[in-house]
Amino acid sequence: MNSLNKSIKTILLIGGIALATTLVSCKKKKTEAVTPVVSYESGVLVVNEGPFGSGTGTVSHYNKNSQVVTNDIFQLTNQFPLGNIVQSINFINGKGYIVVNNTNKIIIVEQNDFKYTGTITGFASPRTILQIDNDKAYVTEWGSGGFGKINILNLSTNTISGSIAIQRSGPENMLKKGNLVYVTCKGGYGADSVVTVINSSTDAIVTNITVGANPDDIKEDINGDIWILCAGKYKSDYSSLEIPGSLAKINPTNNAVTTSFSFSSIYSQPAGLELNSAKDKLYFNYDGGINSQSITTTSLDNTILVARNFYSLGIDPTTNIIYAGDAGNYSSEGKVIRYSSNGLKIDSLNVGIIPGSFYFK
Amino acid sequence: MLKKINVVLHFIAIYLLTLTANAQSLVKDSVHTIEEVIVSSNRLNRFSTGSKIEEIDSSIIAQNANNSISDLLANQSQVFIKSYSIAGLSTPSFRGTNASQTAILWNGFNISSPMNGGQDLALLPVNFVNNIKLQFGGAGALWGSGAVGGTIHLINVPEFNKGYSAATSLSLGSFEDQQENFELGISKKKFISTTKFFHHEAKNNFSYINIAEYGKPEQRIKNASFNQTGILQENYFKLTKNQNLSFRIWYQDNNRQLPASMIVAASKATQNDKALRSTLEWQLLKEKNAYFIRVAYFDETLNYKDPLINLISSSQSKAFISETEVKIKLTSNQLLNIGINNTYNTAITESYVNRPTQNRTAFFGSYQLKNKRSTLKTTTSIRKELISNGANPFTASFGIEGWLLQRIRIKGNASKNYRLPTFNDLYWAQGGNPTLLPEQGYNEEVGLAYVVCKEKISLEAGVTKFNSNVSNWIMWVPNNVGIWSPENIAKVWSRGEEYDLKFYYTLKKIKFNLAIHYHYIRTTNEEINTADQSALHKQLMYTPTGKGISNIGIEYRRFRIACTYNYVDYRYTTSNNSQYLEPYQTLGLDISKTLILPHLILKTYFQINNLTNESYQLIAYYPIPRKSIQAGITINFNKPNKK
Repeated sequence: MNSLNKSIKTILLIGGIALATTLVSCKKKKTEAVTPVVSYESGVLVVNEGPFGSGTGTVSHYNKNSQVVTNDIFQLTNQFPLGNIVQSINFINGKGYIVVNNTNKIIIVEQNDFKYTGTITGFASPRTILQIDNDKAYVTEWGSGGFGKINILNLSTNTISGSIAIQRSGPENMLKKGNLVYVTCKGGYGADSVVTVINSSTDAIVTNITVGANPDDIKEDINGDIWILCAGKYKSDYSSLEIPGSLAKINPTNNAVTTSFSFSSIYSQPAGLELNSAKDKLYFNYDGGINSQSITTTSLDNTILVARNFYSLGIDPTTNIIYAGDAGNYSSEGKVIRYSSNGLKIDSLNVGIIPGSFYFK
Repeated sequence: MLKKINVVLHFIAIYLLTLTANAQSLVKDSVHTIEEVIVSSNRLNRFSTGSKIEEIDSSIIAQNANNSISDLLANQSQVFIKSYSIAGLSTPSFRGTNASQTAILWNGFNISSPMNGGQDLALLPVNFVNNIKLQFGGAGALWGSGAVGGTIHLINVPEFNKGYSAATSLSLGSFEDQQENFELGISKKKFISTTKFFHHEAKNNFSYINIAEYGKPEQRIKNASFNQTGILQENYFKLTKNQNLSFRIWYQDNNRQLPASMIVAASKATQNDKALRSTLEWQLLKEKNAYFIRVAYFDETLNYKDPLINLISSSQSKAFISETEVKIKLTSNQLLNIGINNTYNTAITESYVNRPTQNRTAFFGSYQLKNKRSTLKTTTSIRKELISNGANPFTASFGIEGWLLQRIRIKGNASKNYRLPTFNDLYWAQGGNPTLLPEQGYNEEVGLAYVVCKEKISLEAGVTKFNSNVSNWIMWVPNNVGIWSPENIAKVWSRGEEYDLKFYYTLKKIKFNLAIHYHYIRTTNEEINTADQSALHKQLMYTPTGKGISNIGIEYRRFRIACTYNYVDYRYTTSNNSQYLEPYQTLGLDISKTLILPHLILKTYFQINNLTNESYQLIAYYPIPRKSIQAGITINFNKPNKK
């Protein structure tokens, strides 16, 4: 029985140690979510894609006056997450339309307080949304392998009312000029090299303009010319680029490519095309830096404004301040570094995981 | 090349045999005779000195006979199991390390995939093995690549001269879960043949709270069913008084749907895994020496289909392993073990540009020294591996184990270990890095245990403190132009304490057992060779610091009630530890009654899992079933051999 007593003592000792260690490890307290009283009426929205795999994307709000960043404003307001890979955001008729790629959904929120108002389903890998008129919007989607398409959205019911079969891969970004909508076909699951032009009153395809490999960003400059940034195309073994990236200019009067510059790197893909507020200077990320390019020069300027690799880029059209998204290690919160238009660092903001795009309200 | 290596191996085997025969003649015969019938896991049992080894209790194996190794380890061991839902991919984490830093051995052969360095524990049925041992810490000198954080030993143990046996069991559970097992066996004095068959399927349409949708509705999970069928044939022959031969073949076909997490669109993806594993072993057990020659052939295929994106992807990997081992009793207190292992791996998949092959030859040896009274022993082990497509790692370990005051066991172990880059790391079509170096680990541990072993009471209460450093840690990171590629960029430091208690007590007709395990382990990035330093000194993602389990069982007249409690601490979901999943605790109940009749044993059982309806996730947004039940019956028939 002596040995039993001894044994019990030992058990108590071990149990005590275990309990103490548990208490130590439990010291963390959950911070209670505070209901925000702030308004998101104006400011900068950062669309954070969220971690690959099993994580949710978020939207961060930056108040330019108070210089305060509020992260994950959707979860904060609505107590549920947006979903995996938040692709883009756009505002139509007082509502925010948040395109969530891997959930095949668009989540609609109130423009000012981000309160959830509804969900549009029925997409297959949706990318971006563009308002056509009061009743209609277009949503690009990559589809389920093969060709992508343009979904026609009825804005009064917020349902898909039809689609445009463009017979092209990876429709991505859209630009509306007059009656015409220009859609970059980024390649999706394969490769493509056209900008598809659609007549938005008839939803009919007008033409396909051949540009460089995998066109992505599209912007209209002060002269009304349309600039397309093409990412380029990888070799089948992904060792390097088979076709490097390129920058093309389209004359919208005859939809002809008037200028096309090819980048030299066989490794780096240009991305994140932006215009300054005067719309006479282009900015993009390429070869480990933020590059600038005049809309009038006849070759690539190769001007590196900031020598740092960024994941995304945005320019505030009112202040001309450059917002550059740094995804860090892709598995924790990223940063947005703000620069003046000539590349001087202003400050740094802590945002969500993988900051992918910006919206200036 | 393979042929050449095999010829070389054959010659070396013969050389070793003659060498030891000479050694034998030099050493005077001792009076000891060898009692082992078939020696399973020679190196585990004889040369793992100083390692913490946890043997899963046979009553717990019986209680989990209709579960997977994944379920068993998650609920009943200190190992943290990372799992995507019930039948989803499930991998172990020992002492903060990851799946590829764990060696999974089936009767001594490493069954980890050469493609990803791991093995899906959800596909391994508990009832296909007799014995499960968990070896904590590094044991690279014994088991080679992967034995960095720990080693899972799955062992089949033959029992001769038991007669004819037949067994069947049926279990039914929640979510249309059903399993059938059949077993037929002949066990003679010199020959055993056993065939086991199992079929397990479940619809798995459990309900969960969808925290990722407006209003947090209760929903049923879709596309989560699975269907597994397996057959295992084991044959053992006593060729002569001291020669044994064994042959095992295991085939399994697994189909499963892959459910979507709460934050992605509904999934229609499915996966089929097929595995063929066969082993052949010859043993010669002499008074002084024991000789082992064993070969294995593993062939695994994986087919993944996602009709929503028209994706069909398939891969196949093959491994051919041959090993020769000689154990020599130098003197009454000195043991030597030397051997050679050759492992040939190949894989076919469209994800690699070429079809990679890898040929590895390892030379290993262990030397054990005991004091006269056998109260203290030390083992020194070394291993040198030559690899056709990479570095040639050298590893070593030193272990000591002894008794103080008859009741206190002390253990200590220091080892150098490694993990080779996987085929995916080396050859993946976008980003694979053929210049990767093996991960290198150093592990030190000390353990103290108080042991009482009497007729009616037995107690083992122990504490182990360990320290482990892994350098050249492989991580996939985007390079400066945005392509993800694995690099040897991090140093990871893992350290902690493990507390173990096992207690058995018999009072008249009542049998009582209690097991408690708890650990507190910090596993942090201590160096990361990237511009971003946000994960520096932070706990690794999905690696809980604390895990505690306890199992209490009471048995009276073969009526048994057992209760299992599980606690898992915070798991971080971001590498800078800014976000986490809440700790969770689960409770399980198992009630069984066994009836023993002449030639027949009947057992019925009833289990409740997650009794408290805890809603938790192991991987963020992947739902886990709440309360579920399972009931079953097992019938064992045995007709002993005529005397």
